[in-house]
Amino acid sequence: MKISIIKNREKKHNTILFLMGIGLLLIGWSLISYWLRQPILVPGPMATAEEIGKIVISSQFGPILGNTLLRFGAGFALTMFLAALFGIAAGLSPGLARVFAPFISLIKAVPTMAIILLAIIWLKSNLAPILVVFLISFPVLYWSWKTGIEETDGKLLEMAKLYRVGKVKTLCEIYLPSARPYVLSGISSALGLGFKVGIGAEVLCQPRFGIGTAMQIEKSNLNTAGVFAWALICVVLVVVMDQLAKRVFFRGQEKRKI
Amino acid sequence: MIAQLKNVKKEYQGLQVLDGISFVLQPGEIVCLLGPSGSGKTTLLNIMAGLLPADDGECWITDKVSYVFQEDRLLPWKTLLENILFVKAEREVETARAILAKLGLIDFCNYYPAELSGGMKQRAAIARAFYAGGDLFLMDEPFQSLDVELRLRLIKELISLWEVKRNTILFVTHNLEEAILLGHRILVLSDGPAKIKKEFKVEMAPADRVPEDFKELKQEMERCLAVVD
Repeated sequence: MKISIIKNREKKHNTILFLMGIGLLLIGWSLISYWLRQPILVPGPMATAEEIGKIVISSQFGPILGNTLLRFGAGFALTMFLAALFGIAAGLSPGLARVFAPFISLIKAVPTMAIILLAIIWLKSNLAPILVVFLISFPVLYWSWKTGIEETDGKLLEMAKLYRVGKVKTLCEIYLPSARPYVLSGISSALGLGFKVGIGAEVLCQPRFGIGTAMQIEKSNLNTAGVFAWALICVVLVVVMDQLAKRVFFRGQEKRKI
Repeated sequence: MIAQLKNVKKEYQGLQVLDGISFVLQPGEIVCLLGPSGSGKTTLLNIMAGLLPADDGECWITDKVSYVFQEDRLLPWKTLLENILFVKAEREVETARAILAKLGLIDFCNYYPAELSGGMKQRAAIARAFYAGGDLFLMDEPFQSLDVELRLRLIKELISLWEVKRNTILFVTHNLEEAILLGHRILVLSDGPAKIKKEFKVEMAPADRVPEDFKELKQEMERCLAVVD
């Protein structure tokens, strides 16, 4: 009872601080916009809010959002699956980790812009962002899985070995839960990074529907408020996706931390 | 016979830890391995459990072994009951609950390890070992981090659990009182490199013992431990 009261109070306090942060950001933004007096460079929060309203009620909003999310979802799902597969394998076997190392280093070292340009050359404009999202977010999640598996408490593994617990059970009930905090933090980073670069790829690929394409159109029309509006929509989308991922992967974790 | 060790030797980075340990464990007996800290007791237990190889000598041991480690080694993401059930392929919930009830943990089945006290976690580790079963229980100073009162209570609980099936227990400790209250036989180890220095036998059933009855034995064991090889 007492713990829950303290936790609720803490939550309320954190929310207030978070809202204060947003308030400060809005004030700063308004001041800069007011001081410059050039909406084509920095439109004010009100102008941006108006643009958001226009975008949201337009008939194009659904297809644009849907297509971007679909592309990002496909790329990220591919990352989740392959990073888990290769990351777990590398975490369990140092030999395999050494085999994978050059591939991971290569993906990490190639400049993002080169990846986007190659994806445009190899694939259709609506598919290229999927490959870009995958190539950018894969190394992050691969390392999370690998590190999480490697950092599993050897004493717990020794206990499982002594009681002759099967390999699959050991993997599912010791290794995977141990890796969970690492993977969660990896998902959080990969999600933001993948989405940002995915939008960047859309800007260059120009698929028929996509946030990147919409941003590019706004830019061509010199409607900076429109670019700001789409950027804010992206921020909201990343925050929502991050929260959803935390809900899915962090379920039941709080009790263990008491 | 449950286990037999013949002249077991182990060296760590040029340092001789075990120097020819030999003893036999018979069914249904509790044997305490008493020795100062750092005398190689845990190493010996790990060799018996198959977690470490011996450098020399023979170690024959029964197939089914349970181990209570110095730390509880509970899975933090599983509830107490799930931790107990983890060690067996087939889930025998009623058996697990009965063992937890005997150790006074039945009301905490759905608690996570982080929500339990040190004593409760150690009891859970003992419950897990008894649920897993086996012919031999290896116990590596499971009560060392607990206060005296709790330690005595847990010794009693351990004896009452042991009385159900009378499995063989090899209990490692550096605490004289624990050894006197539990062991049918007490093997005193010398301070590194470890070998069996002396063996004491206690005839009285463990459940009937009180520390005050064994003052002479305690003094004798203290003298034995104090003698430098």
